[in-house]
Amino acid sequence: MQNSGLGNCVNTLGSLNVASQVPVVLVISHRGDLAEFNPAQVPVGQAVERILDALDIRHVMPRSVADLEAQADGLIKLAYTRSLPVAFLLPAELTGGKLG
Amino acid sequence: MTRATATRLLVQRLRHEVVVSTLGQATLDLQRLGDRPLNCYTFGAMGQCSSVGLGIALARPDLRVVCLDGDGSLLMNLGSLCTIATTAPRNYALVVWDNEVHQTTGGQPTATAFRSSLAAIARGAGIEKVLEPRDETELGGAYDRILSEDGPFVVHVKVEKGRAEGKLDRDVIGYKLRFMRAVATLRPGPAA
Repeated sequence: MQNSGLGNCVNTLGSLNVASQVPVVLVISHRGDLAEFNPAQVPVGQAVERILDALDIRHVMPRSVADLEAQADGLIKLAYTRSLPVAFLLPAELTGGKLG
Repeated sequence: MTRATATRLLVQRLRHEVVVSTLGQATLDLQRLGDRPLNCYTFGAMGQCSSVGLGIALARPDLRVVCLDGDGSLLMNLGSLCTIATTAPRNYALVVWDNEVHQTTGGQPTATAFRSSLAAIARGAGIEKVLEPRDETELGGAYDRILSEDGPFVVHVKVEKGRAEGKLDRDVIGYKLRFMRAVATLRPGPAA
């Protein structure tokens, strides 16, 4: 999903996944940050890490494929150890972003 | 027909089916009238009951899954009907108690009190087996079908307004763990 999708899922993540301790691995492309062209993407894009922090959802933001490979297994394992959601936040410098 | 009566008619027919109930009134009725380990109560997740049940049905095609949703709840997640139609699990049934109000928040009317029909919306989403039982006899017949025939089904039931009796037991984690254990150990064969 994009961070807009995360915005739409906030209540369910809080009142189902966190409240009932149901792990899920979220993979979120980070719109609304570096090189963003759409003003409507920016507010939630800038808030996305604070939204995840507010829900106590552990997240990482790998800046390269090597960075992602180094963190991927560990973060997924933590989701099940903790029985809570985790999130990979994929920035434009990793994904190439979206060009207008 | 009251929601409690409609719930009782289902509970007396259950064997090894998973039942997922929406938060609030439907969960309170199900907990009071037919608590069992294969019940999955969604204490939160407003609007998501049909989706939670769909996930279980897709993950466990060997089990039959019945969701107990409300009109207010389904109205805030109508896209779920399209996902049900698209994925079309044969082991899935969505029962909608439609009392035309948001009962838990004080009885404010929903769109079904005016011009909207959830049965018509379900058909429009592409679900072929949409049942509209009008009385207890027809509802019993509808339950017999969803518990034996291939779905997906939507059963749209108009029920009386009114809060459920009793008080909800909110041992959220306890009920989840009990449900997970029951589902993990149940291997009854194809949609038994």
